Amino acid sequence: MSEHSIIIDENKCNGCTICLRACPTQALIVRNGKAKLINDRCIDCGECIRSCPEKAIKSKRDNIDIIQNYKYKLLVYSPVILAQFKEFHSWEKVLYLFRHMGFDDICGVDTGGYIAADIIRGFLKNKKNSKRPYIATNCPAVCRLIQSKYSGLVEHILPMYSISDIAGEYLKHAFISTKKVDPEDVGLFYISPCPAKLIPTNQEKGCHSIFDGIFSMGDIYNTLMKIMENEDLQYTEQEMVTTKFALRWSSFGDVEHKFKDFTTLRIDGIRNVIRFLNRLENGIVEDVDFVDMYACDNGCVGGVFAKEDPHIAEYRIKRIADAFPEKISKKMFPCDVDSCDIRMKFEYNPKIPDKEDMKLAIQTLAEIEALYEKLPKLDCAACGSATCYNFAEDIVVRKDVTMDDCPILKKSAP
Amino acid sequence: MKEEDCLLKFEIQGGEFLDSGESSAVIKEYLKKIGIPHPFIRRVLIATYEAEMNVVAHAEKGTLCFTIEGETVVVRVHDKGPGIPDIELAMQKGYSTATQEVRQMGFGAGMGLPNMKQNSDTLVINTEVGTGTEVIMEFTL
Repeated sequence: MSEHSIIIDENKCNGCTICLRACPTQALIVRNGKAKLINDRCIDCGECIRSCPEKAIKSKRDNIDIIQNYKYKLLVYSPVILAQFKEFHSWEKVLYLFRHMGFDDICGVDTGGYIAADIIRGFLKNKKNSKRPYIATNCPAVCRLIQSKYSGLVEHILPMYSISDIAGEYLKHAFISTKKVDPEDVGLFYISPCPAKLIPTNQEKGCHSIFDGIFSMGDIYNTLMKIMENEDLQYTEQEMVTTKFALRWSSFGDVEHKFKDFTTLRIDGIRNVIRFLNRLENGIVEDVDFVDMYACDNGCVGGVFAKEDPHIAEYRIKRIADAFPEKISKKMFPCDVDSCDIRMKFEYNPKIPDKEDMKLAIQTLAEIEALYEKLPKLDCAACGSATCYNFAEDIVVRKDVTMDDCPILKKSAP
Repeated sequence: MKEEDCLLKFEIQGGEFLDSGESSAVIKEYLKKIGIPHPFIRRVLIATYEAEMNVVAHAEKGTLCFTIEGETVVVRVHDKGPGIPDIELAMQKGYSTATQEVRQMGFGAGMGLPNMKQNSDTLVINTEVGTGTEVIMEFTL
C-alpha cells in the first residue's frame, strides 16, 4: 500500500470533475458528488492541485515548527525558490533568511547535481551498462509513473538516488563529520517545489525519506515574504558553493551542458513524458543514453508550489547561474555516503499469469471493450469516471456504476 | 486459424512507413491489460514489429491477426506481395532485398526474419513467389 501526498477536502469539493480530466493517470473518480483518489494509480504529480478551481485538493506537508525538535537543523532547498522573488539578484537575502529561521547549515539541490554528474558520467561511459536510455530519478512522479504503468521500463531507471537526496546526505554527513556532533541531534529538512517530492521516491522497496521533514516551497515563500515585508532586514554576505551547470540542472533540468559527449534529453511536462515512455516501450527509441524527465513544465521551476511563471523563473535562474564558474575551486568534503553511488535498485518482480488467470482477464477485457463500444466516447467525465473507457472499466471491475449512470445515453434514450 | 478467431485484426498498407508499428503497439497494450509480464511482451512486440515492417517494406498490402490460444500467443501475418524466393537466404542475418530508398529510412538491415525467429517459439513461413507470404509466429508463456 503506497502513501500519497494528495488530500481532498470533501467540504470544498463540489464534484465538478475538472481534476478527473487533468489527471494524467486517471487516478481520480467522482462518486456521490465528491472526488476520490484511486491510490494505486496516483503518482503525486499534483496536476489535480493545479486544476482544482475550488482549491479543494491540497498536499500533505510538514509544519516549519518541527525544526525545533532538533538541536541542529540542516536545510536543503530547491534553488527554484531563489527565482520566486522579483529581486532575484539578491539571492543572498534568501540564504540569509534561512539562517535567520534557525538553520545551522544549508545547501541547494544543485550541490547534489554537482556530485551526481560525474558519477553518472562514469556510469554512462561503461559500455556494460546497456539498458539505455537511462532515466534520471530526479522527478519522483516520473519514477512512480514508470513503476506503476511502465513496469517493463523499470530497468531503465538509473540506479541512483535523486540529486535532492544526494544533497541531503552530503550536507548531513559533512556537518556531522566536521562539527563532531551526535547524529541523533541533527534534523535534516527539505524545501520542495512540488508534492511529488514530499514522499519517498522508491516506495516499492519500503525506502524511507532521508529527510526528517519536508516543507512546501509555497509555505516557505509566505514566511520569507512576511519577514521581507515587515522587518528592516540587514543581511550579511552569504556564500553559495555551486556551478553554472549545477544550478541550471537542478532548477530546469538542463542536462546537456555536462553530458555533451552523450546523447541526453530533457523532457518536461507529464504528457510529453508519457508520449516518450510509450515510444520507449514500443521499442522505437534508439541511440539515446540518458533522459532527464520532469512531470512539470520546464522541470522543477514549473513545480506545483512555485508562485512564479516557469519561464520567468527559468530566466532568473539562468541569470543567477551566469555569475558562477564551470567548476568548484574550493576543495569539497568527500562524499562517501551511500547515496553518492550507483546502488539504488528499483524492483520489478512480475507475476506470471496462469491459463485460468489469462482466460479470465481476456473475458473481462472483452466485456469492457463491448461496453465501451456502446458509450458516446466523449470523455466528458460527467458520469464521474475520467473517460468513457474508465467508465466501462468501472462498470465491469469496480462495479460501482452502471450503464444508467451515463448522462449522455440517458438523455438520448427514448 | 479462422478470421473470426482473431482477438485483434489489422490491415497493413505497403509503403506506409509513417504509420508503421501501430499494430504491434496495440498488441502490446492488450497484453499489458491482461497482465502479461514485460519480458514476454517484448518478444511479441519485436517479432510482430518486424513482421509488420516486412509487409510495409516489401508487400503491396497485408493483414495481421493476433490471438491467444490457451497459453500461446499467435500472430499471423498474410500479405499480397513478391513472396520470398529463397527462405534460407532470407533467414541469414544481414541479408536484405530492401531497396536503397527503404534502407535510407533506417529499415532493411536484414534483421527482420532472424529477429522474428529469435523472439518467437515457432515460426512458420508459407510463401509463393509473385503471390505473397504468410508468416505464423507462436509465443508460449
